[in-house]
Amino acid sequence: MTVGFDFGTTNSLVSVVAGDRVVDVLDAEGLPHASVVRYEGEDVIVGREARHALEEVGLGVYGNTVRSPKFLLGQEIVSVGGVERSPIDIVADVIRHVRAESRRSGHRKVLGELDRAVVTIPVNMNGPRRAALREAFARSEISVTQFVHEPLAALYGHLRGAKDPQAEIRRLMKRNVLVVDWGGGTLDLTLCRIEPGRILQLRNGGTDQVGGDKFDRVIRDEVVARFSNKHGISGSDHPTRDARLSLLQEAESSKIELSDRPSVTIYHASYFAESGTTLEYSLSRQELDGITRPLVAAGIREIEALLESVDMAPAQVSLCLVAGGMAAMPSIRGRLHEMFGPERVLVPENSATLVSQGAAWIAHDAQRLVLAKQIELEMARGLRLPLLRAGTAMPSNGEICRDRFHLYCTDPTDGVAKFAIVAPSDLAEQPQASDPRTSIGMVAVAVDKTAPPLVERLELDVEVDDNLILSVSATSSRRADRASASYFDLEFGIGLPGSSDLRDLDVTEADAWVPNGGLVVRANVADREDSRLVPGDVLYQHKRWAFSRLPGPDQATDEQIREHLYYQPCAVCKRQWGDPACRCASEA
Amino acid sequence: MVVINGTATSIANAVEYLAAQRGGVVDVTLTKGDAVQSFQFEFALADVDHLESVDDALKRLIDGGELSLRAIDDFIMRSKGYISAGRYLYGLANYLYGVLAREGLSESGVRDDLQDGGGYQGKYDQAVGILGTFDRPPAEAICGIVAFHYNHFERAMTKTKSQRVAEVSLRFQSLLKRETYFFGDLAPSPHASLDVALSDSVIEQVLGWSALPLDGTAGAEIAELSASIDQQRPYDAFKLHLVAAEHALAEGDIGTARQHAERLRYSRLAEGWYAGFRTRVQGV
Repeated sequence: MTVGFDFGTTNSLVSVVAGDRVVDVLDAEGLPHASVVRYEGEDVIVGREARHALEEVGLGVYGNTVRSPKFLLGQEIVSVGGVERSPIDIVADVIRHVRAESRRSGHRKVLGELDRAVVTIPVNMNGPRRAALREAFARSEISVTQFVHEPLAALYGHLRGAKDPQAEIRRLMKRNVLVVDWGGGTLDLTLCRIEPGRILQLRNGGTDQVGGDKFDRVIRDEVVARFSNKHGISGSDHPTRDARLSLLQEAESSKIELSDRPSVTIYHASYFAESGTTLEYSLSRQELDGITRPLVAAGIREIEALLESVDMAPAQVSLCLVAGGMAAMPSIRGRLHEMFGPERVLVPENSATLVSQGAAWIAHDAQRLVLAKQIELEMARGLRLPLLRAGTAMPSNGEICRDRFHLYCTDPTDGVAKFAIVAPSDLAEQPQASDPRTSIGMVAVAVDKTAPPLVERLELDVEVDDNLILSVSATSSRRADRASASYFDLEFGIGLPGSSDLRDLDVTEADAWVPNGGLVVRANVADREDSRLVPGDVLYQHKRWAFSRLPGPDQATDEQIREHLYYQPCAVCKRQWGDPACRCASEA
Repeated sequence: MVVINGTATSIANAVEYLAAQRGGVVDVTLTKGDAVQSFQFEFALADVDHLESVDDALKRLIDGGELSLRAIDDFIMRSKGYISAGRYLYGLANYLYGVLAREGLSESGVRDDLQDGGGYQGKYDQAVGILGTFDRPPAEAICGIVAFHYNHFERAMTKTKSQRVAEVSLRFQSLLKRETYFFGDLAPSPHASLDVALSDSVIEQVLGWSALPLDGTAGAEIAELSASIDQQRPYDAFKLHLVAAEHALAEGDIGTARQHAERLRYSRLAEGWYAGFRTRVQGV
């Protein structure tokens, strides 16, 4: 049985489909497993017990404890309590614990060996971190069949788990859905469109600056500051480490309680160590809203920025699905209600476990991610070469999808061949040449600037691996230069529940495209040996007879003639093209 | 052949099925020979008890006497369970968010100075776009208030059940159509109605000024009104100039009356009134 595994910033959870329903494999207290690991000698303490011993909030290493080791992935070595450890091993310790605890739970029969999982990842997790996470799962004897963005998994879970999935799909067909996954450590966003047969990501975004942990810290610090101010507590009257820890946990529980109550009392006997003063503070909902307002506002700004990046107004979003542990916080919910309208904001009862459940459904339905948008190479004269077509199935465990393209350099005069990788900015079944493109990245290799155009051969290798990383590698034949780059910020699609319509998106080849202003890099590669793609001035240097105005296919085009003349001074006065002082043509 | 949500069915069954729908989206495909036509129907019929429950929740919000993001959110959460009245709730909430923005209490950056539909007017427009189809007292009150705000006096008179909004709108409508109107004080006829609870403070103030007697006896209030006209948005300034001009004329202060009237000279809505007003001024 392949399970869904949400290796979250603050909590981790395994969900599995049993029969026609999904079950969450929780710990003995009925909660997800805390993503915290503590090292005491030879003992490795993971989960809630380790978390209870943790005073400081935030992500990273605190003494001998690591909170959310996911954020350490990508580093070679970290020092935990003076011991150098590999982040992969630390993550593996958490995964191993979750696996072991899950297999000890009442759902062990359904889980089986728990050796395969669809694993959710934040949208901004980069390639090396994904590879490290896969390695950590491997060390825990779990094979990652597929990575899925956390908010995309939540959306799939919502649709699949709906009372009538097909009715919900009909309601949202051809509409935009924003998933706000506001968890304990990160805010992850994905803007999707429901298309026939599949869900397609339009744009992703997120931040780790407004997670639930930040809220707890702000609440604790503000309560202490207000109490100290009111009661004249000296700045040197510091609480003990245990007192700070206890108060932090109380801040978290107060935050949760204030979702349903107008006020709570925070009480801590002898909180201030020096004076022995007891901290007692009545925190109202209103105060909580005021204290956390900057964090909520920052999160809302992220959402606004995401919508602005695709020129979309909130009214164009038909559903705002809110997942994650912070979804129940009234001030967050209220702002989303105001932004999108209450009818469009859905905070499901299972919002805290929706990501994991979605991954479980994806595993159960054997859904495979596909590329949402075509990946293209900008070529000379505004042509585009499709490198990976929209709808291309993403590789699963151990697979790699690769292709090689043989190209030519049309203009080697600056000694550099430029490979601009782009994707259509919007989802379209048939992206047009004039549709705006979003730059994914640029790779440049050195070429022989003395060589004639179309002589230097270029090779472009494109591959996508099972970590959903796009890698491009370019080489030049004469200069033997090589350059590579990897990109993780891609958009994906996934089949709709119950749909068999998984045909490739019908994408036509783009024709010529003319950039409409702004600073652009003039692409100088082509996929065919066609002298019409060579700039006129370059062609003139190497093939003057093409400008002899004789009939024939090898003659320069009008555009090339103009380009050539542009760089030629006036034959009479020797002034540059366009110089207003040159009146030779009119005088003649 | 009729296909409903991907399942072929008879015409009789299709009719029965569609007639029974109260919510959700239904895909219908009709096929005859090579001709295929697809339709999508969205049903959103609210149950009366759901509408009443939303109205009860609104009453609780009003009785609470607090308008804040949190209060609106509480209202929404109390009402969200009444699923069939979702659109009604959406309309009410949008209006309340608009009031919040106009009162400067919004945390969202929705401000009252945005004219492109992103400000409070955008929220009001969205609200009445939905509420205009509901025969519920709060919906009618809101539509009346918003119509009054936009100087759509005829609509305001017919939409609202509020006597003061209707009377003030009737006064403006009569003025603009050069009909006989009531010069006296409209304020003594307050009737407890929803519009008092639902209107924003600016509209309340404008309603109050618009109800002043136009017989030249409200000098102090008109002075206050005149001092604030330049801070008002164009729709409200229109109403206030009209009131101030009429009052000044009744008072015999021709210069002031002319000043206010000139501000309305190029308003298409006030064309008839302005022509009549000039005649009346010349006759003094």
